[in-house]
Amino acid sequence: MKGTNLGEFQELVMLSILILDDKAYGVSIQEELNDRMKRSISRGALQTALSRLEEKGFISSSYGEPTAERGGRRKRFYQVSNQGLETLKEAKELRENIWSVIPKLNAS
Amino acid sequence: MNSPKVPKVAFRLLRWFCKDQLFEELAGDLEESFLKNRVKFGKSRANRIYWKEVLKMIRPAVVRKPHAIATYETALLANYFTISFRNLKRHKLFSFINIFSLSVAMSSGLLVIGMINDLLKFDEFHERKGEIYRVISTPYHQSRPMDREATSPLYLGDEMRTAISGIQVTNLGRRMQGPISANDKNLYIKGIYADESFFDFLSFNLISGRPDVLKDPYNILLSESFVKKTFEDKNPMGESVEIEGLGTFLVAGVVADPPRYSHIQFEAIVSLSTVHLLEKQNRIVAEHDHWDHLDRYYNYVYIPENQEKLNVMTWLEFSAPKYYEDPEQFRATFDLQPINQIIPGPDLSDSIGPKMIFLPIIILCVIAGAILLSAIFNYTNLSMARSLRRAREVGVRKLNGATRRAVFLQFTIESIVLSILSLGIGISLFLLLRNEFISILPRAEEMIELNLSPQLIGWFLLFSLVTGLIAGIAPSLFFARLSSLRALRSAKVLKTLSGVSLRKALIVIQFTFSVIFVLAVVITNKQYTYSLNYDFGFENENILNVNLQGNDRNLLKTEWSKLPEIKDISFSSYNPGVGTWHNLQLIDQRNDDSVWVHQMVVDESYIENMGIKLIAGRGFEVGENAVRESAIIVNQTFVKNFGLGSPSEALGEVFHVEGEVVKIVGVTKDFIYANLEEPIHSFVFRNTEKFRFANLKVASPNLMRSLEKIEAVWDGIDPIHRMSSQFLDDQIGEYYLFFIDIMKIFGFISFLAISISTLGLFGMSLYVTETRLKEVGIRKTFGATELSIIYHLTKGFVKMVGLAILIGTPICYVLFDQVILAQQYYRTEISFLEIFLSILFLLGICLLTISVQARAAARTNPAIVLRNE
Repeated sequence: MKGTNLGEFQELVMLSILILDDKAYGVSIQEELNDRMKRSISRGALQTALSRLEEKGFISSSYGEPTAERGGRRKRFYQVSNQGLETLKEAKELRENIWSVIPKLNAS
Repeated sequence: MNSPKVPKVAFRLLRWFCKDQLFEELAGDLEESFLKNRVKFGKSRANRIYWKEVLKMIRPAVVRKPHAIATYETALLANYFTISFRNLKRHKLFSFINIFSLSVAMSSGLLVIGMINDLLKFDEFHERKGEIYRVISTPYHQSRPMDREATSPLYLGDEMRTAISGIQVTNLGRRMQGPISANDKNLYIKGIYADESFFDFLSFNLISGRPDVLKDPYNILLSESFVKKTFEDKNPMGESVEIEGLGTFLVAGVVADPPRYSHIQFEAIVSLSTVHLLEKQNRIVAEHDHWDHLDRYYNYVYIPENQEKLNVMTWLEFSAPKYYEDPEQFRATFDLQPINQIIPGPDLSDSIGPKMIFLPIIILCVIAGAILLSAIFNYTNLSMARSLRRAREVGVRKLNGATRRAVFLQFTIESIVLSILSLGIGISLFLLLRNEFISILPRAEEMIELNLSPQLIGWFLLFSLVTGLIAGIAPSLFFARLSSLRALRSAKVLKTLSGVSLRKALIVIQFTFSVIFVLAVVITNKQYTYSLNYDFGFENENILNVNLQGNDRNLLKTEWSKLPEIKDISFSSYNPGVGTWHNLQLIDQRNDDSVWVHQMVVDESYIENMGIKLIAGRGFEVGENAVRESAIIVNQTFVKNFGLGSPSEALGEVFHVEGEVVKIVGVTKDFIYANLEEPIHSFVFRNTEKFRFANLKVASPNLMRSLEKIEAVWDGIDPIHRMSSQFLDDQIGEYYLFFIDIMKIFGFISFLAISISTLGLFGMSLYVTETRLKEVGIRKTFGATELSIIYHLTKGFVKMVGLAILIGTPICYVLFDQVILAQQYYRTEISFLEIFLSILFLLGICLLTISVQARAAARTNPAIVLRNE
């Protein structure tokens, strides 16, 4: 079914939201991805991931207060939902499982 | 909300395509980043980043979805179509004018589209077309660049093959042609020379035989259709055929006919190795083993996956020129030309097949575009002028809740319906006109067919859709913007807003086109008469030029001289005034400089026979050049260019020609030896034995009868060949016949342009007078005369046409003076009289059109018009 899979980029976006905690909105996520993850991405590309994640119910969003440097527009803050957190953990466990059975790596 | 600092256009673009629920967030984010970037990188870079971000927003997640078409909307759409048809039916004059002008204009557009569509098919059949190139060259004489050539030295191919690994080269040669006798049939054949790599990468198919038979001399491959013509059902393999002037060949295979859209066309392929032997036997001019000879052979290169392309190009640029020993004197540079860009392509001389350069295509596009614009303007103008009638309908629609978009859509659909209807008629016109069109363009019958294919019809549909859209955009926008209140109020208000200035501008543009085309016809006609009546400097009447076809000239001369009609006979290497000239390299004894001049080989009687005036010295004497060339005769320009002083002073000056020492014995007046396009250059008459034509001066009351006698003599001497002859004045007339073709094209086009714009004017004046009928009635009751009312009603239109003339005339003058007539060195001047007459003609037509309406309006009884007031 569409919606249960988590793309690599989507995973990174969710992790950034978690790092930023309650300060996660468009610009900050974009900067986080640019700085920490060494990914140069456009706001548009980020929007695709955010919409998709929200559709799947992995993240939720709410508006903040109007800000002057944004031409008086509100920020939209994102939070990772419980379901999103579960999926992230599952993804991590799945990877660790796979890592642990690679013979070459375990031998050394 | 909106901030003045971010790039405005980008912001608006975002506003336009972005989903409403995302806009606040995204615009805010972008603006925040923009401010940060401006601090960090400065304004211009921040602007650039903003733009980039906006453009990258164009993705499904962000872009708003188009409104889903609900059922009521489909019903509306159907309604729009119904309304369109009803309107077309109701306003018959409006529909007629528009459909007529659009379909006529479209047919010219369709012809051009069909032509381009056909031309683009050329050489697309080669499977490896993206990797095959032709080597083309630019020769330099004494560091002066000459015309670019499609050919390159034959040796270049061999050198390139050894220098660069991984590529393949095939060599071709042209002018393999002559009368052929095969299977006891006598025909004429045209073909090419090719080497054994010919079939390696070019997609021509060998039906029987092996490609490597092209290695050995005197092997010939015949095309399928030629085999059918000559051998019918017999197997041609192993038969021998004889091509006159070349020798006997062994049929070593049959090759499929080249596809129609191939720039290489042939009925036969002869092995290239034959060329060496033919040159040795002096059957063809020895050219193949010179780097200097650039007019007969072609190199085609196959560069697999274009891997070595850079290498090939570098080699051509740096290594190939090293083969020229004296680059100051002669050298050439080389280029690669992709095989599918040969037709249409740049203007190269010595092409192997037909050629089509860009210039005429561009000219035709521009002309068709101008005609089409005229028709589009008609539609725009008439729809806007009709706005009075339609405004109420739009007002009611809007009051009932029609959105701008809906009204826009309605009017756009109307114009598209009209243009699709016109396309139907346009296609029939296209089918009717296509053969005429092909026959007018030089050599077009070899290149284009203009067959209706599904693909072409697709292009036509797209074309008419776009035409409809463009035609409908101004009226649609106008009606969409119209506020319902204003539309429903009074007619007076509307009048001021129905785009009067736009309409005027469009009419002016239409008539500007008409002025240009009419002047074009007049000027072309003038240049044609000018060319025909130009004093070429020799007599061209009653001179019959007969191609010698290798016969003994002395024998012919003695036999012909017996005919009483023949006053004089001379011999020459080519015929003057019809665009041919031959080059000659001459060495000036005084400073050892070698110079290129033009030459003609003639016998002793030529100068007198042709009536060319000698201004100093004498003509050739019999036998003076028989053993060793010793005398030349030059023209005035020669004397001037070489600085020899007066013509009589030039006598006795000495030059070297082909190793012989020659001296000037006579000087002639300048005459047009080539054509009127080229200026007269230094020219030399020589007196060697290389004649190709006999020039018979015929004086007889019955030329046909004399011609028969002359032919009878020919048949007695040469029973194999038919005599091929033509009168010189006919030849010259034919040479300038292209002016007639140009005139036909321009004539047809100006007819179209004038009829379209006059029809438009007619429709416009009809609507305008209609709306002013009441005004006319009032004027009449107050005592205005018929004449003053006519004056009043036509004044505005005449002004517009006058303005068009003021704009069009100088444009046309400059166009012809600087561009088109500039191709002719000896040319007519464009005089005031022609311009004046053509303007008068155009003005007359317009006045007639408008005044018919005005007069009818002026004659209406005011009592009827004003009855209801």
